[in-house]
Amino acid sequence: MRYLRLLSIFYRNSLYTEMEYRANFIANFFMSAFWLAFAILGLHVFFYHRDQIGAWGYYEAMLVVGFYSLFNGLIEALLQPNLSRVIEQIRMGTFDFVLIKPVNSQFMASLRHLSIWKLADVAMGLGICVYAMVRLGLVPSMGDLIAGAGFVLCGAVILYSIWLMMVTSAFWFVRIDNISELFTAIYETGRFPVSVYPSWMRGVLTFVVPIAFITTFPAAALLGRAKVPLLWVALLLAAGLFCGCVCFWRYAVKRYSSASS
Amino acid sequence: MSQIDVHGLAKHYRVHRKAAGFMGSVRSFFQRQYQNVKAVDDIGFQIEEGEVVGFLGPNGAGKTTTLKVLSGLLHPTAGRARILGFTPHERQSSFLKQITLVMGQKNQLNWDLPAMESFIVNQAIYDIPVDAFRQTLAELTELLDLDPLVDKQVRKLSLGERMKCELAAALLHRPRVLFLDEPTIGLDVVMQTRIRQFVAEYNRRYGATVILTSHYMADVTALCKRVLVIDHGKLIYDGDLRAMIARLAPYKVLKLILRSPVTCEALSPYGQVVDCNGLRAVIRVPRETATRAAAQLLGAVDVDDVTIEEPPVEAIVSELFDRGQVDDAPTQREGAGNAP
Amino acid sequence: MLHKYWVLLKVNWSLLLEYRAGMIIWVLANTLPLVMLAVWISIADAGPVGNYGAAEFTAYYLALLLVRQMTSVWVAWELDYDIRLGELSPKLLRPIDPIHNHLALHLADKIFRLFTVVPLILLAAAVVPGVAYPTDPVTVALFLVSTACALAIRFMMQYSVGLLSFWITQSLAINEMLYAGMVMFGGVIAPLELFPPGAARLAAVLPFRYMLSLPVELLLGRLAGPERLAALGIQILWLGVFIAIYRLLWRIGLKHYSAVGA
Repeated sequence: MRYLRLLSIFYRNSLYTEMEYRANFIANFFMSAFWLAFAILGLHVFFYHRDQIGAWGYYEAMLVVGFYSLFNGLIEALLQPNLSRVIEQIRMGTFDFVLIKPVNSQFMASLRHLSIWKLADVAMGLGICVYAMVRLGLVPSMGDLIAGAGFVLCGAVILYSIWLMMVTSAFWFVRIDNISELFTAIYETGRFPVSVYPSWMRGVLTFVVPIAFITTFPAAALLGRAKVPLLWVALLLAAGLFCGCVCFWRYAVKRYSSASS
Repeated sequence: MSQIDVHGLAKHYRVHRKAAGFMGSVRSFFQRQYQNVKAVDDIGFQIEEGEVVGFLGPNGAGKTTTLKVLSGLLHPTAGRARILGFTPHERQSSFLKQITLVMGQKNQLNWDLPAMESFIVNQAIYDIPVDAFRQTLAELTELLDLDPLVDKQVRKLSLGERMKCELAAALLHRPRVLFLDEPTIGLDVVMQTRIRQFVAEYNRRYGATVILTSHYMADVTALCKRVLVIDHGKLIYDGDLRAMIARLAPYKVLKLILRSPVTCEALSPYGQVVDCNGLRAVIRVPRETATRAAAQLLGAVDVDDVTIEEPPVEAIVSELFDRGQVDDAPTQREGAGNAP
Repeated sequence: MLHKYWVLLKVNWSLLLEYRAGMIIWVLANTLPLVMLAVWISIADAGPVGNYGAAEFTAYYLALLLVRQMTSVWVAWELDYDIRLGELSPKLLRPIDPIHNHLALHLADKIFRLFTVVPLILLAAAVVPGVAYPTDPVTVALFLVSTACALAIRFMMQYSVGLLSFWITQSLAINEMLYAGMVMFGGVIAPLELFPPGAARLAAVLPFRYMLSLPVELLLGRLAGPERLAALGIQILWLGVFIAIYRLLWRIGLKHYSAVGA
């Protein structure tokens, strides 16, 4: 309860701050539109030459683009601003103010800020998903909808955990402030269904850096293609990564307070 | 038991030693050489509730490290610290809710928002009931003159105004122990005095314990009866500030303004002549004989005015660091009976 | 002037080595062409796409990666930072236009990449079977000239966008949009010949092709003789346009800067 109240205060403050920079809204809106256009143009080029890619049709693949955009919005609105601030705090020494508060430090460090305008991507992603479903004439069953929601939730937790681990590595590599670029580079692969890639990449994107769980599987679930066992794997993976990132964070904070100067 | 109880506290760092040059950097890549730095080395002291204690020491002496260990930000390498019955580095919620840390060089307020918003965030973080929050805020507003400040964006405030807001944000939860690390750094003299008065008043009103480090001797002399002097990680003095001055500087300073010029030789029988140029002279005389010397001078030379002054504290303290320790009473707690 | 550049180059070279950890990440993060290559190879499994089979795609994207490495520019961020935080003022006091220092840093970076990333790409091209580039001097010369032009266009364009910071706070967002444009119409998502005809005609007119795709097309020998010269002509035209824009913005921007006293 207390944490929910804190979240609402944090995000209200973020909203106040962002209101100052209204021009950002327009800029972000256009940027989202541009990147979406790019993803769709990419699809166009593929489907100009082929009827199907990796056993996905045009509008089916568009569903994946929608989820890509949705999660990209979450990254940029929720994760990126906190990451850059934590790195700055560690560098400037103001991270001490986080540690001295009687609140879980991971919560404070990772969920403090929200770049509200970047949620434009989330809205557009949802819009694309709905559009694609309408063009497909797709009315998912209740079960498929629940599975889809489950995958989206797992995807969000997986993303959060991976990001938190990158944040945590900043305790060691303070000089590398652009570490998130590496993840962004891999996340690019999420624009297309994972079956488009050669088999070895598919393996990597499913089990090593589980991008497939974030963009492909929710779309597959809505299309009724994801089987129930896969959802269990997603839940297990999300839970495992979350525990992993919590342990890593605790270890890093402990080390920070025993070794840093 | 004392409110703050520290025994044999030590904090060592392993510092990676870099060799110079290209080959050196290659070598240290494969075989790192470490150096053990003793930032805090076997320190012990007790502080009672309501005391205001100043940490003195040159840069890098270990003041801030000690403060960080006491506030729970750093694990000690050895030794034991108990504060309010807690072990700081466990960082239990109930401990953190009773202490606060203010760092003069770093700020916790949100730059883009009015300070009031950050106060509300702290209210939620520290679980402060609404009534208590309103009351404390009203009192702090009165003490610090916050009224015209809290609704302005923090980035539009001056450095001093920002420090006032930082203090208020750090005190909303009525902490019983205050750690102030250089709270007046960079402020102008008027604002320094203002902050000092506030800390003194806060301590008087609420009986909170204050531990303070500062570069400005004036902060320490105005606020602290007791000082802990740290150098190279070791505690070299713990006790009454005045007693330390008396021990280190067993002399007073006579400043003379003369009607007619006098030679240095003529003044030397009365004490050590520090400065004399024509119509002005400065002489160091032993404490016990200071008054007598002044009287004799008034009779012997054509004096327009004479003042008897305490030697400047800065000079004493820097002398202390040069010497490395206080003669005959190292690390002895001697002001123990004076604690309020 | 040449001596000044030599000094600027040396200074920026050591600056660059200071930040190499961050730089390596930037280089590694440049993976989009490889992702697209993987997709296209997988698609070409079922038979060639247009004129492109797996080997052609590999040759195309390796060349694209190379050109992209040699034309990377980030001057918009630097200008935005300098102008917003008032760091430009002291630089204006020096008896040399700030653009030369920025240019020197980028050239130093290109030298760095020439000895680090480029050999890796060339090695990959040598190892992968079926990938071969023409080695006749005309093609190579055209490729080099066109790559240099591409770098110059990107630099002048970003410099112009960075100068917009004199007036607006969102110049980096504009830069990002232009980058998206380059990804779309510069040949990253697909070789431009594979575009549907309408999109391909649009791409030939927009400046993005001349910032990335053209050198690759020239190297792969995809253009006939007269086409090559025409394309190079358009590229030089775009370079001229961006230089003109830069000079205009710089002149009126400086007036604005000193008037507002930012």
